[in-house]
Amino acid sequence: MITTIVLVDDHPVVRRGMQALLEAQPDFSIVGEAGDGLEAVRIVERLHPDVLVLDLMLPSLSGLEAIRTIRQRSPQTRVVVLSMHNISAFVASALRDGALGYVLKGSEEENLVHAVREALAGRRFLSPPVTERAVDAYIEQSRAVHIDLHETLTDREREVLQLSAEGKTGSEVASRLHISHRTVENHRASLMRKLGLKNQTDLVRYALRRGLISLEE
Amino acid sequence: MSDELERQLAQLKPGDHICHIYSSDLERMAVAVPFVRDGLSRGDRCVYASDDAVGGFVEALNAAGIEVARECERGRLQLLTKRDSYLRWGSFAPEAMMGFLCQAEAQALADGFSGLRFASEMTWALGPEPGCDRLIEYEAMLNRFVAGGRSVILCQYDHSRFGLSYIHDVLLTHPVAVLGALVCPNPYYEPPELVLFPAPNATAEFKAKRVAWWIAQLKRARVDFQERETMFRNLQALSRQLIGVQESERRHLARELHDEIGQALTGLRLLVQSREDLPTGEVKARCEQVRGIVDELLERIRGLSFDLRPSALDQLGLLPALLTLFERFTSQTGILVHFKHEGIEGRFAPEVETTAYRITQEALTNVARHAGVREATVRVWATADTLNIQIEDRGSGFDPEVALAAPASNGLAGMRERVTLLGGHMSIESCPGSGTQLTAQLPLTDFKFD
Repeated sequence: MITTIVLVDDHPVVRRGMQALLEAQPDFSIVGEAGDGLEAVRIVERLHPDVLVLDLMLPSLSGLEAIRTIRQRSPQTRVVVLSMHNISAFVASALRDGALGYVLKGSEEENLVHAVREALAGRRFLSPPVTERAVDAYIEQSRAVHIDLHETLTDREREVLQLSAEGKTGSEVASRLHISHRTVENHRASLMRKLGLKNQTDLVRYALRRGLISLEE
Repeated sequence: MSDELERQLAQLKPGDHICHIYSSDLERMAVAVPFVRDGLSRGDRCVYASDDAVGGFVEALNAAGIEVARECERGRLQLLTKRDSYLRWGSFAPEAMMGFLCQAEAQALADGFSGLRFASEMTWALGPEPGCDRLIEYEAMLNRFVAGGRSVILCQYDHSRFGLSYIHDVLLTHPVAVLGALVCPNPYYEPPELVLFPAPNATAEFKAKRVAWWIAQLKRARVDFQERETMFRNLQALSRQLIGVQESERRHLARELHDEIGQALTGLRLLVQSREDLPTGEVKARCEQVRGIVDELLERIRGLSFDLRPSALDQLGLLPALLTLFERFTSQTGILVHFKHEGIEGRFAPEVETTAYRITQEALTNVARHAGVREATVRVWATADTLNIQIEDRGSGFDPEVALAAPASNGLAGMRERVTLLGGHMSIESCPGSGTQLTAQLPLTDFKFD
């Protein structure tokens, strides 16, 4: 069985290198080449190769967008990315968009051949120093968490918030905290901005909701 | 030049009351024609009242490609003389004229137009008819009429016919003036309650009010002037700083290219020089060396490219670019970044993404250089209309006033400038010994550069 491969990179020198490397394998056949993302989509659509090897940085249509389109229009084609970037963000995005292999340009030659064979078997392959662990850590980090806006306040702002909510005037807060009236106003403006409060009523309502003050007193 | 005038006239909005002070018929048409044409294209009903015959104006409109007869037939354009408008009652009464305009505006809206455009040639006011001396009173009242309504009103005055004090009073009563080829906000304008004749027993109060207004205007002009001057000086300083930054970046890049990459390439060249007498073992060893140097070069170029502009920011967006930055920052400095984010998975305007990224980068650089800590916290969260960035450490801290005044040694002033350019806000909370917290807020809506 001959494995059909399409190569995509905007640099002819890189394509020539990849071609020599892959064609040294007797069962590999390069059936097409492209120099940009749009061309890549067109060629894959026409030839439906077993494997597509492509760079992520491509003119006209980025590599990631090309992968997304190709996965829809030629689902049997397995995708191996050949990239300059050892950056988890790119690895994670490529895998999410449907690539099976991620090989760094400049890594050992065997890696590319190995990645193509693994992809053919439906298995994932990341060339060192890219690791699954780094990708997992990246995905974990990219999850949003709820940010309690109260934690964005400085200690000083919390004090000013507390005293203002208790109904103290600017000058009272200033003398209590041994800072100038103007500094108090700055802290007040800053904390209101952070919490998205518009006026004193909002401020008191916020303090009540957070339990900073209570109605009983 | 007349294109420029037309562009400025096209900026007029409902509620505008404009005077045009002109000296020739050519000038009069140069403003009246585009005023009408622009109104027609916006779907306003356009009414033009001229002193006597409408012939000259019709000719000018036709020459400008407006089919006058057809537009009149469809009710989009009305051409009146003073006897159909200002003096239709045989004399001039501002109250009656106000009623006439109210009626015209209501009718235009009822007929499906988006508003009313009313332009007039004002020479009729010099006529002998009773009431003509109440012209300025009328002009002042018009400002109340247009406010909040759907009308735009243009009054054209021939300054060779009207006396100086008349022209002065005209300027007092029009918030916008067209002079030559310029549409200007009129600094002589005074609100109607100051211009309209007061009740006789309120004269002293009226006088005081008007003087207070003049003084307030003077003060405001002075404040404006000072603000502009400060702004200008800040801009100049910023330009100088930008040029300095650009040159130092180029210097760094040149050194990196020449000293590091150039030298490595020279070494490579020596290694690959063909020497037939080399034993096989030596050739192998050299190949290994070449590989090592090439790998090192690749790494350097990746680093250089990342520092110049991380491709993740353009290709993937803010969140992936920040995660990449933190990974690199931690591996280079050993400082751990606790990162919390909410609502920033999507893409933002490129200017917003770049600013948010550069602020975080710059703030972390400062943490590494000055704070003396092993960890820092970064929070980035988006609300419906703002993107918020906060970088916090529990390190040595500093006096923000001092740091902001010394723009060369840290990026704080530049960061603030970047945020201000986007219409955002940046605050720094720090004092020696108690850590630093930098918070920036960038607006996500109403973001315009012009």
